[in-house]
Amino acid sequence: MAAIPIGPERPGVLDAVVERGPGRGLAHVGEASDEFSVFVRTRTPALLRSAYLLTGDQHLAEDLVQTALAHTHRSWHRLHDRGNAEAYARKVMYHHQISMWRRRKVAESFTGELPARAGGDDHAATVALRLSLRAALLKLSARQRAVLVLRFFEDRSEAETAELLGVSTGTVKSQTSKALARMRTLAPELAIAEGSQA
Amino acid sequence: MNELLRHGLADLAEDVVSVDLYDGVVEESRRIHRRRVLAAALAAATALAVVAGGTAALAEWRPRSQQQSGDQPSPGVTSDPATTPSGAAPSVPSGSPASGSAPVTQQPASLLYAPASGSGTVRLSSWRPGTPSTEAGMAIGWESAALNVNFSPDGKQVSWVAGDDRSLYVAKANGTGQRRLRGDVDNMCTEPVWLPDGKRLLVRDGATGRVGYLTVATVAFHALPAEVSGCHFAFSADGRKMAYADGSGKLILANTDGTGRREIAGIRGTPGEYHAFAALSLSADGSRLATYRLSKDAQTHGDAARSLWANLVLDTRTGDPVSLPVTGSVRQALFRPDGSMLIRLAGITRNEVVLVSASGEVVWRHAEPASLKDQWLLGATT
Repeated sequence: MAAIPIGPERPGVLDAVVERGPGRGLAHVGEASDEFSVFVRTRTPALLRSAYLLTGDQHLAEDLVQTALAHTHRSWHRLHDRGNAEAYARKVMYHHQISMWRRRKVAESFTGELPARAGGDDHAATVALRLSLRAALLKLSARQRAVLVLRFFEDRSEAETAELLGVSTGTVKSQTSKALARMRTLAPELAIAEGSQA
Repeated sequence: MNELLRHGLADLAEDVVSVDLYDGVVEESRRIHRRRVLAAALAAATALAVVAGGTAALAEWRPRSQQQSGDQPSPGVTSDPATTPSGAAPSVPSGSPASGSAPVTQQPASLLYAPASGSGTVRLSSWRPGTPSTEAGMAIGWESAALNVNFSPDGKQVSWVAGDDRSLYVAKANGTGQRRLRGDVDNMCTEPVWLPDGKRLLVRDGATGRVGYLTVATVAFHALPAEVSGCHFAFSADGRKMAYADGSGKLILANTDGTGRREIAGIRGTPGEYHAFAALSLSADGSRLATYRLSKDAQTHGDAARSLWANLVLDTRTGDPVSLPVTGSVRQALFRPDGSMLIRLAGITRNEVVLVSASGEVVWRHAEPASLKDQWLLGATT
């Protein structure tokens, strides 16, 4: 048989095929637990920050990150060798959040009091801005919020955002545009510019 | 520039309090494992229950086109006024007649397999049923093997996506005559699938996100007139129907131009209902679909990467499982253009393959070589 040359490996691609079938070996679970615990404890803060922006709630954010990391645990033996575990966890997290919202119409909200800050930057203007932002995010759809978080918090490109959400770049463009338009109406003080590239 | 938005999001994100989730993560992982084990056990119980079905089970197994009058017509073929693509819509010629009396079962010369996981470069393989060993096939990147390699219905051609630019390649099944058709096609979720005519591939164009048909000879791409959003497509051999997963846990049956979409009953994808995330193989007349149905308490949300493992065959009209004339735990099910079906049954060290005719009779059954146990059956040559 002729060996067919193939292209280089794609580091950005989801590296695991999640096991779903019956009878699959599960012996890997528990292996490399030290590595996994290190991964969880070092990456949880960053994942929680994104999850908090997606859900608007400390406990929902914890649940979301826990779910994403649990799925990562199931595929750990395939993931950690490729150094792609965090990308996988984030993909699970974003898909799960959008899916759960779509299925249950979860009424996530940025309600309640702003958590107290240990730092000293909670001057009046900053607090007002945070309140406006929280209120505006509340009124976006889960997908629009996910697009904004990926594009403007995680600084992902449109292509990366599309890959993470499993949609086309065209959808990312349109969702970003709609989300920004909504934010301009809801929070004019943020001076949000037009266009998804802004 | 939206610097205030960037800074605002970064500032807001600092409100979250970091906590140690490790113990909860491990416990949640165990719950996922228990749910999967339970789902597998239920699937095995479903397959074993077939034994008690006897003759009735065989009658139920047959596609509706093979059953006597009085049976419900196939909604996948007859209830939809738009089954024939019109205008500029790409058409799908019939792969084989799928009505009337049961056709003679064509003996597969070789079955074609790909590794479901791995690293680096792996090899596809083929196996002649009844023989003790496999034959190594072409070399391919493991991601391509796991995510998107597919054989044409006659098993003579193979397609796959590889490289940073997500190039689509085709070759003869033995790996010779490789051609790069184009770049920027979806390499997972909407992995390229051969149409029944063996001349076109369903692909998703990366630039536009549109799903359409690419003619292998000319490389011309025609987007479906109706925009389709979903993963893991399968076609009926009569060329009239396609099935796919919508990504939220539902399965969709549609005409091959994307019109006439309807959800398959019983797979609602909502809490407390069954979920499925892949249409794995559609019968020649579109009345039966092999899938992996997840239990009603499944908390998964699917995956863009494919999994070809199946646990049952559904009636696409009712969503109910159909009885299969086999015993054991179904691991994969593959409909063939002549209406027959290859069913893989899980074993401890090796799987068993059963060829079932269009009329529901077991033609033969063979144990596979152990090396194929965790590989995916992708097709067959005749």
